[in-house]
Amino acid sequence: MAMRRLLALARRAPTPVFIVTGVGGFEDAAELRWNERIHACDTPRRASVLVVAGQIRPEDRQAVARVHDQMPHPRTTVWHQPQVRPAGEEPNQLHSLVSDAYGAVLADPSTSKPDVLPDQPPAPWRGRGDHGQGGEGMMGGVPYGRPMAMTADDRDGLALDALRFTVGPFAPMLPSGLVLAVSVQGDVIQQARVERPPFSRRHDSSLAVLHDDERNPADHARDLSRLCLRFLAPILDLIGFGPQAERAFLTSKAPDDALLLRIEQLAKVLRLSPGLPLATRRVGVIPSGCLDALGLSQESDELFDLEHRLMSLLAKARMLADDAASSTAPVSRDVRDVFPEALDSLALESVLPEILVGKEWREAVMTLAALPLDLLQPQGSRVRP
Amino acid sequence: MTPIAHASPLSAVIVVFCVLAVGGYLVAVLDRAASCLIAGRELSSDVLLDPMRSAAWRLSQQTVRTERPDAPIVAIAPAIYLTLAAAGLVIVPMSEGFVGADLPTGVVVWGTIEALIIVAVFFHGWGPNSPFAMVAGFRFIAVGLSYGLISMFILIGASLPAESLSISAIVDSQASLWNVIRQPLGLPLFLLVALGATMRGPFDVIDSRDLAGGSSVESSGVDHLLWSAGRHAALTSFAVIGSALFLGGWHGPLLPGSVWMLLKSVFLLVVLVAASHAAAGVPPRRLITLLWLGALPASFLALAEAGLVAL
Repeated sequence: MAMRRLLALARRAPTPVFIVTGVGGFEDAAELRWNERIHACDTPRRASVLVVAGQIRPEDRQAVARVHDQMPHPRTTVWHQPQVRPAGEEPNQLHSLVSDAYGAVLADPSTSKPDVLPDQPPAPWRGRGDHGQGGEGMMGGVPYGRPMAMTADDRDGLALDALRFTVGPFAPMLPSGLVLAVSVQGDVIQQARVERPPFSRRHDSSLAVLHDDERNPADHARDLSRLCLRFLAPILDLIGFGPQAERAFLTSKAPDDALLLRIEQLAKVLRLSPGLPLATRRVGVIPSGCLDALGLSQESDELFDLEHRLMSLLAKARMLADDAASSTAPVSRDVRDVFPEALDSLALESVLPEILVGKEWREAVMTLAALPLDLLQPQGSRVRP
Repeated sequence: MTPIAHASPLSAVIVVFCVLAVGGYLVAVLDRAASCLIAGRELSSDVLLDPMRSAAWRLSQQTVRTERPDAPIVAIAPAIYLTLAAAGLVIVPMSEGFVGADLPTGVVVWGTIEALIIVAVFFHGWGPNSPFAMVAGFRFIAVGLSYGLISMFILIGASLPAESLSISAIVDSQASLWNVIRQPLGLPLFLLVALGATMRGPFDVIDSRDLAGGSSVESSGVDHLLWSAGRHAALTSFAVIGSALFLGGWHGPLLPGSVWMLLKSVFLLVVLVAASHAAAGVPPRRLITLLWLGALPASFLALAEAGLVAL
């Protein structure tokens, strides 16, 4: 009886979800992330509903299963394949589906989904080395397929345990799809290798509407402005500004006549956040050599850091909304005229290790956030000069 | 100095439990209210009820164990955090004539509690046998040392006017002038330590998003509920102690002393929650630099100024 009451109360809590974002799923994932009755968890350990939005690569299927099996019971999964919507059409009610699924599994916990993968180590015990784990002494080796820390020289000429692990493709702090194999000493990345690139957003519905030739220039400028705000939200979220990020996302959904005013209000909220420059200025600086390799143009004395990325997105959003409001909207319909920094996936893979090595984990994550990965081009395609 | 009567153990336990429970819940409500206001959403009754609903959800969740965890450490980390928060309240006079344990070395005990929080957080990161949790645990050791040092100087500064290490004596010494006016740097630095020890706002580099929840990345169900409760309870303890050390404790006109303590503690809680939402998370290396080169010298200054005024 008491348990039933507890579950009834729990059903009224914001739905705890872990969102796996695939190709084409960014828009719906964002709608879900910022819904007020959804609690998007940073770790599957605290989620009750796994939401897979968009298409995932065949090689990522096992990662989805692993994420699923990490969730505590009672748990359930919602697979969602987004469709391109005509411009101006409201997104579907994914949050209702998710909340219903959560309510159903709490109403009858016996329907909680069982593990997908067998509960066993990824590899057999090696049985080599001093203690059989394949390393030296009690350290190192790969027992049961899991690398153990092993002492190695660090950047200060001292010896420190180096730990190797793989992160992604659905780690919440990294761009969706990116799989990184890293070796860290303490908090500092010593080696990094891109095993799988992040997903491109080219087929996302928020970008697709921009190519609708039927729209007039003012609407087009407003859509671009809204897009800037949607790129801005996850960056704010990552630096610990969850409510400010939510505001950025809600601003992107403001009515046409209120968009500029809401952007001004957002800018004011960010100006009133005294720690913002402290958290973003000179954080995630991309070395100039890497900028060239990525095809990113650098302004004369501007740093390509997190603050630059945040402020340029906000400035672009404001400028475009202002253009739309004053009927001086640009005639261009190509998203890359407004976002010339679109990256080439192939170039990114080769340069990323150089960008990340030597950085602390948090700064490495911020550096990735400072890169315009939202506009990533698929492998092999070239960015228009 | 006004003689302080000890509360009976039972009444002290009841009061401490009530303050922690109500204070912890209030922190959760204030967090949601602040989020709504910043996000531009309207406040609704959900702000009041969601903490209870979320607690029910966590109680109904399975508590997952990782592979080969340090099980005793995993179990005791939230218990240590909660116990430290409660121990802090026991030594604070809640009103004139009501204190759980009026220790002559009260501020030393509080300093020890702050230092032991480092142990609780490190245990929480170390226990699950998980890379991100472990990185978070080590991060807190790196930043926690500076919190301890800053706190030590400002606690000594607060005790100088009273010429005593007893918290009751410190409250009594503020009958005519509160320490927040006498030592203007003391309270801001104390609040900084409070945010750091409870891993909030700009100091949230421990249970942060870049580590997918950091030391809590593997926590679920009851374990996570207890850990969150510990963080909220510790913030409540900091607010109550801060009002005793810097805002004159029970002193105030017209209203009973316990009401003044309540109002001042709630005020500090609101300030702490607002500060944690106003500032973004600072990268650990930069945070440590700021703490050692900015906050620590400021705490020296606060102590020097307190010493000069006391002379």
